[in-house]
Amino acid sequence: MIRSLAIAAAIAAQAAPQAPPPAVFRSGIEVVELDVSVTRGGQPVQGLTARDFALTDNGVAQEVDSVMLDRLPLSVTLVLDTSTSVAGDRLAHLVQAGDGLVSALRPDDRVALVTFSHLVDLRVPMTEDKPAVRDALHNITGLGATALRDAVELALALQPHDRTRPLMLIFTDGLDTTSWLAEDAVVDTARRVGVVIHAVRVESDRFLERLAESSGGRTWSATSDRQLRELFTSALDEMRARYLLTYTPKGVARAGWHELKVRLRNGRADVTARPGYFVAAASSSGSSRPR
Amino acid sequence: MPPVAAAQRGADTYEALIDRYARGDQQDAPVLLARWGRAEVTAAIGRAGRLRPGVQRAAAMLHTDAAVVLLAADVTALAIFHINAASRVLDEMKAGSRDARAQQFDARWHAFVASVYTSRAMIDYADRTLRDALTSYSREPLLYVARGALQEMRVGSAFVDLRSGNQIARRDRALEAAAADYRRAIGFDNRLAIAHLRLGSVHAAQRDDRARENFEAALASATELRDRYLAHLFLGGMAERENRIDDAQREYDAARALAPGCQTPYIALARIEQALGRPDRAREIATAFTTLPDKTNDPWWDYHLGGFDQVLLAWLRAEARIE
Repeated sequence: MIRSLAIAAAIAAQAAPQAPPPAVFRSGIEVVELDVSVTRGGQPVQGLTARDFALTDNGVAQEVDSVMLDRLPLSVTLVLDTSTSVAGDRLAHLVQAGDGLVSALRPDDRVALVTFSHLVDLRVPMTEDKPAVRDALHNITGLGATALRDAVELALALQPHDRTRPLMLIFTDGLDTTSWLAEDAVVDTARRVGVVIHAVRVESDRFLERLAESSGGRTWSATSDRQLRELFTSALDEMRARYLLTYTPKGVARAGWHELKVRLRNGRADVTARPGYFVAAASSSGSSRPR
Repeated sequence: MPPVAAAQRGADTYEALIDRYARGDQQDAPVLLARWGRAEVTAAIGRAGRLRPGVQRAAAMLHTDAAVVLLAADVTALAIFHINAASRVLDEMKAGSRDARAQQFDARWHAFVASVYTSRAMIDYADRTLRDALTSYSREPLLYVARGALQEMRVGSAFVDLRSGNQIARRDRALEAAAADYRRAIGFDNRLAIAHLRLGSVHAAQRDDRARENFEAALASATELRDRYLAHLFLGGMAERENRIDDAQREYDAARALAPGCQTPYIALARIEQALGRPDRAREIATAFTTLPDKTNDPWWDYHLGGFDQVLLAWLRAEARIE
């Protein structure tokens, strides 16, 4: 996620996290925000500061300006498979898992519900009204084919541009059968949008692994339907334990793909972050939108 | 769907149901017939030979629509029973009349029934239906289209290990066999848009440059909304692949204008906006779709999944009407 410092400050000063995104990106004053997970032995590593992180942008070392842990509210998009294969007990467990995740959200966190079979349906737009999401969860039924890739693309397009930290949590129990979009296209969108994507799956799915990797998220395997609730909550906990790094890129060309590498300066740990971000080429007016 | 005892059906005799269906009640009459027991249906179709050919078409479609109703309720065995009942009625019709209309109806009914089977992944049933039909109607292009689609479906439903030369070769052979069927169909009817569309899809999968001209031919000859919609979608896909982004947007917009309640053009247009670095436009498009009051069945789904051939079904129902 890359933003104008000036506009970001203005937005931060506003009370509502739903403030509109900056319309135009002014070169030279951008700041990049990066969600980073740091774990050791599967457990989050706490207490890190900016000095602990070494970060390169297209191979050029950058100075991390700030590190925050769990300060901003989350915007969670639940993207749930409601195809025929989910009907029955699995659906009941899925609803419980979604309910559990919504219950674990904080008052200023927001949540949206997207379901998909062959049809992609935004059941509840991004909201702080958690009971509305719970109600919608309890009304879903399992019927139809599976358009996973199309659903993810639509959910990515609907991501809010605001001062919240976006998390997408996908659940599916099967392979895509009817999407229009190809895998590469959706992975490319995920790389551009800058949402952390976690996926809970029943069967191995290369697409979900690529998607999570491209966004700095991870995939979780459910060995039983009863495990869904635990995994949904784990995904949320993982997001809460993440650091939010900010830095101002120096010494790199502005437009195009920026490959990012993050590690700890001292000590060993598993550091997971999105592999990069994209800045669109400047338009004829000399400005472009943030990616 | 529980059977209803004969006494409860009152005046809904077999002939009365056929008459209701033939006069336009193509919703309720099949539902009523679907509640009949097998013995009653068997006894009723024993009288089908005495019906006029026009009424026999209606009877066959009444059974076919009853099968559609039963499949929707997951009552598969009884649905197949009704399809077989329809087939028996059509056999009576053919025995009594060899006119071109009866033959065309029978041939197209078989093509439709194959799509009913593929919609339930009953590949072997579809295969057998088409093989039988092609022995009688070797010049019916829609049967070749249906057989080609079945070949494609076999490829689509099988996992292909891209590291396995044998599996890739098998997939390529299946695609080529499908393409041969579509070419044969076009040979019989050069204006058959669905055959051009399907041949274009195979060519696109084979990275064959002829795909674009196939889709353009489909668009030029399409009379059905489904075919025009799909032609624009596929031309959009080709344009995207060739990096002609303005053309792709134009094609997807054209598809959306034809079927504003269908999902796929919105998804495709949103993706293009993301790729162009315009997430706000992508969001507008996605929001336009999610806030649509009436979302409609997307022909892409049936095309891709081997669902019911809705165009054929509409044609058959129209042929079964008696004014």
